[in-house]
Amino acid sequence: MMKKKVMSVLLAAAMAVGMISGCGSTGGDSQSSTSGTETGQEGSASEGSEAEGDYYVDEDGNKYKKFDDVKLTMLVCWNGGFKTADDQYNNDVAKAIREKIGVTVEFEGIMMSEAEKLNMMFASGDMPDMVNAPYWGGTAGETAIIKKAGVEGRLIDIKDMVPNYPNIADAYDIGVISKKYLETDIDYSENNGARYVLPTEVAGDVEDIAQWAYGVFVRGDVADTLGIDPSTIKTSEELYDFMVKARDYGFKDVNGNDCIVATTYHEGWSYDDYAQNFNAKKLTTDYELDADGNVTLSKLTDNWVNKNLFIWKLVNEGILDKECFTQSDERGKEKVGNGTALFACAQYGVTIDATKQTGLYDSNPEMRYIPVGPLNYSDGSALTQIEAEGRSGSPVIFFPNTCSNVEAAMTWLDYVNSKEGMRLICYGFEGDTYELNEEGQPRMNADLTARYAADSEGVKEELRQRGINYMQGRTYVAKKNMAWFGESGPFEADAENEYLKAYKEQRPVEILKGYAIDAVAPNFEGYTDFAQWAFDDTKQKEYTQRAFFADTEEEAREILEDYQNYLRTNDGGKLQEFLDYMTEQSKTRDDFAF
Amino acid sequence: MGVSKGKSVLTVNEKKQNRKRLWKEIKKHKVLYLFMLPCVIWLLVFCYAPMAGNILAFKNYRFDLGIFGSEWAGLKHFKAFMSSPEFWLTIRNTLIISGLKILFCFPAPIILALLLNEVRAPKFKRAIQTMSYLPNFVSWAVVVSLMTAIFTPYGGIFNDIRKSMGLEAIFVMGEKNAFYPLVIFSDMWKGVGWGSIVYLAAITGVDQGLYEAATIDGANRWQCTWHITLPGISTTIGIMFIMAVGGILNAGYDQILLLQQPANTQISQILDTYILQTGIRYGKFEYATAIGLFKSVFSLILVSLTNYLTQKYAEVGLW
Repeated sequence: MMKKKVMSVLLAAAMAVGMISGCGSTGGDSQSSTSGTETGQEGSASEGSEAEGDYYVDEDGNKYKKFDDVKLTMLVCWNGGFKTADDQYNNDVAKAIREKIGVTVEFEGIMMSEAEKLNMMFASGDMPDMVNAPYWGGTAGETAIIKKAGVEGRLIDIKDMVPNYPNIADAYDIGVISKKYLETDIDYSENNGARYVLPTEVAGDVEDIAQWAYGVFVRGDVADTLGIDPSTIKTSEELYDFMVKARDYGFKDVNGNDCIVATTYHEGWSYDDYAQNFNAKKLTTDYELDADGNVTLSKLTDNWVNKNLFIWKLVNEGILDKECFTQSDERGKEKVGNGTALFACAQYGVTIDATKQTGLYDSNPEMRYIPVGPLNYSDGSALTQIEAEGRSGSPVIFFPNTCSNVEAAMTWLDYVNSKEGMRLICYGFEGDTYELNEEGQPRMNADLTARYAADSEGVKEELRQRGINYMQGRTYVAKKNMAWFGESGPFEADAENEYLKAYKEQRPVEILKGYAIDAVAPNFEGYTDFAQWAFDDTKQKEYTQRAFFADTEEEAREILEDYQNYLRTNDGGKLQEFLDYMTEQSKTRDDFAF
Repeated sequence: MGVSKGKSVLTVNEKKQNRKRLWKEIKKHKVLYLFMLPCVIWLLVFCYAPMAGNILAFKNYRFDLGIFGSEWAGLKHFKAFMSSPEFWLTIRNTLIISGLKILFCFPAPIILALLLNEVRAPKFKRAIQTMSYLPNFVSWAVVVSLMTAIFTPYGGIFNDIRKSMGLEAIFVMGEKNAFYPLVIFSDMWKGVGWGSIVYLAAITGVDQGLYEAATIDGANRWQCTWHITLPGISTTIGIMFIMAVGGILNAGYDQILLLQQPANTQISQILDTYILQTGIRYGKFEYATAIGLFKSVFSLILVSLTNYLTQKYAEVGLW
C-alpha cells in the first residue's frame, strides 16, 4: 500500500515538473556571449586596438579581431530548411574559422512560410543572433515585416558599423544593388536615417550574377517519339499543341504508370513559366504604359486575363497537374524524378537534382529532361534573364536587438566574405580537398571532381559534413568568385552539368538600364495602407487559382475580372488616384523604366 | 442559496474552522490533489493566462511596445472585420461546416456506443472499441496525407478503381462539390470511436435492474435501447450537445486548413483559418485577436442560450 502511495506521489510530481519545465524561458547560452559587448550595438572592428586583445591578419592583410570562443546562431529564414554539417561546432571548417577569429556560427533552417516565421519571431522576441531572409523590396510580404521590425525597434542599426568591415561594406555600392533599392528599401523613409539590413547574394560584378535557368523542360523521349524539336517551340500556342500531343500519346513513367503532362514544384512553383510567352520584356513586373501613355498595372490588362486563361486551359484540359498548386517540393520532385511528369518548369538545376535523387537518367537515359524553346517574350524577342543595374531586391542579413554579440557576428561575416575566408568555406583545405591551378585559383582535387561528376549529391554530403561548400549559400554578400577563383563555385569549371551550362547560354543575363518606375510608388500618400490590398499576393493568388479550377472559360474570366473590379473599386476607387499619381510622376524623369 | 445565507452569519471562528477543515481534507487526499495539479497548471497557463492577451484586440500592436504598451485603438479592428467582405463569408462557411458536423458527426458516437453496447462477445467488442479509438491518435496532417494518397488522380487507389471501371480519373481533393463530404467523413472516421467513450461510460451507469424488468415484461433489445438506454444517457447527450453548440464556431481549423484547395476556398475559408492567415501570415495580430474575441463572445452567448433551452425543455444544464 505504502509502495503504491509513494509511486503515485512520484508519478504526480513527475507530471507536474514535466509540465512546468516547458514553461520557462530558455536560459542564455553560456558560450554565446563570452566576450564582446552585451548587446553589441556599439561595437565595431575599428574600435579594438592590439592592446585590447588578439587580432588575426589574413593572407591579404585584412585584420580581424579575435574573440574568445563566441558562438552565434543564424536563422536561415527560407522555407525548405538549410542543410548543414551534423556537428556545426566541431567540423573542420568551423574549427579553422574559430582558430582564426574565435567565432562559430551555427545555422538553423525553417520548414514553414518565411512571413509566418518572421512575424512570430518579432512578436515573441525570441530571436537568433543573425537572420537571413527574403527582402524583395516594396511594401508587402517579408519586406514589409522586416521594415516594420526595424521601425519598431526590433533590429540593430548597422549603418555606422558596416563600413568598418571592408569585405562586406561594398554591399551598398550602386551597381551591386540598384539606386532604387538603396533609396526606397534599404534606407527606408521611416527608418529615420538608420539602416537595418545588409543585402546579400548580390553580385560583385556582372559575371557573378546568378543565372537561375528558369524555363520549361520536356522528357527527351517525348520529343523524340512525337518527332518535335523542342528548341523550335517559341510561343504558348506551340507549347500547348506540343503538350496536347504528349497527353494524347499515352506515355508511361519508369514504373509503367500513366503520366502527368506537366507539373511544377512546391505550391505551383513556377507555373508562370508555361505562360512565359505572354510576358513583355520589361524591368518591373507590376507596371506598364497603356495605349494612351498612362501608367497602369499589368494585372488590370486584358493580357493578364488571357495569360491566366491559358493556365486555366492547361488545368481544365488535364494538361497541368491539378495537385501542383498545393503540393510539396518533395511530391513535385518525385513526379519529375520518376519521369511521371512529361513537362517540368522552374529552375533547370532543380529538375536535374530531382532526377539525380531517383537515378532516372541511369536507368532511363532517354528520359533526360531537355529545355523547351526557350519561349519568346510577347513581342517575339528571345528570352533572357532580365536584371536591373544592381539588384532591386535580395536576401538580406539583419541583426535582431537580442543579438548576443553583433561585433563578433560582423567580424565572422567579414572574414567569410574575404578571399581567404570564401576559399575556406567553399573549397576547404589546400592539398586535402583542393589544389591551386596555374593561375593560383582553387580547383577541387581530381578524386572529388571525378566522384562529383558521377554522384554530386554524395560528394556534396561528404563535404558538408566537414563544413565545406554550404555556408556561403546564405552568407556571401557581394559575390566575387568569378574574379577571385575563375568559377562561380566549386566544381563549376570542371564538372558543371553540361546541359545546364548549355541552357544558361541559351538564356543569358541581360541588364536593362533605367530607373524602375515602382521606386516612386511609396511616395503616394497613404501608400502603406493602399499597398496592403492593392499588392496583396495572397488575395491575387486566391482569385487566379480559383479561376484555374473554374468549370468553363466564361466562369474563369468572370473570376479574373472580378478581381480587376475589386482592385478598381476598393477603398472608394483609390487605385485610379494612385495610377494618376504614377502617370504624373512618370513624366518627371527621362530614365524611368517599366 | 442556502450557502450565501449561511455565509453571512458565519463568525470569524467558524470561518477559521472551515479553513482548517478544508486544509485537513486537502492533506488527507493530497495524492489526488497532486494528480490534479498538472491539469490545473495547464488550465491556468494555457487557458486563463492568455486571456489577458485579448486586450490586443483594442490596440495598435507594435513589436517594441508589446501587448500592454501599444496604443489603444478602440473598436477599430472589430469594425474593420465586420465591414470586410470576409466577415459574412467566413461566418457563413463556419456555420455551415459546424452545422453539418453537429448534424452528422454528433449522433455518430451515440449510435456507435449503442451498437457496441449490444455486442455480446467481449473479445470482439474490445477489438472493435480499440480499432475505433485509434484514428483519434492520428494527426490531421497524416489523415489528409492519407486522403491525398488515396484520392490522387496519379496512382491513387480510388482513381485506379474508377479507371478499371472505365471511368475517368478525377481530382477528388480539388473538387468543390467533394469538400463537404470529405470534411464530414474524415471527421467522423477520426472522432467517432473516441467520442463514443463518454457514452459507453454513461451506459454502464444505467441500472441493470431496468433491463431485467423490461425483459421480463417482454421488451426486445430494440425496445430496451429506445426506452431504457437512450433515456438513461440523455443527460450526457444533453451536456455534450450544449458543448457542441458552444463550439459551433470551431469548425476544426487544422482539418479545414489542410483540406483547403484553390477550387474550394470560397467555401472552406472559416473563421479559424482566416485568423491564422491574418494573424500569422500578415502579422495583423490585433486584427486576428479581435476576430478571435468576437468568436469567443459569440460562442459564450450560444452556450448560455443552449444551456437555458436544454434546462427549460430537457432539464439538463451545465449550470
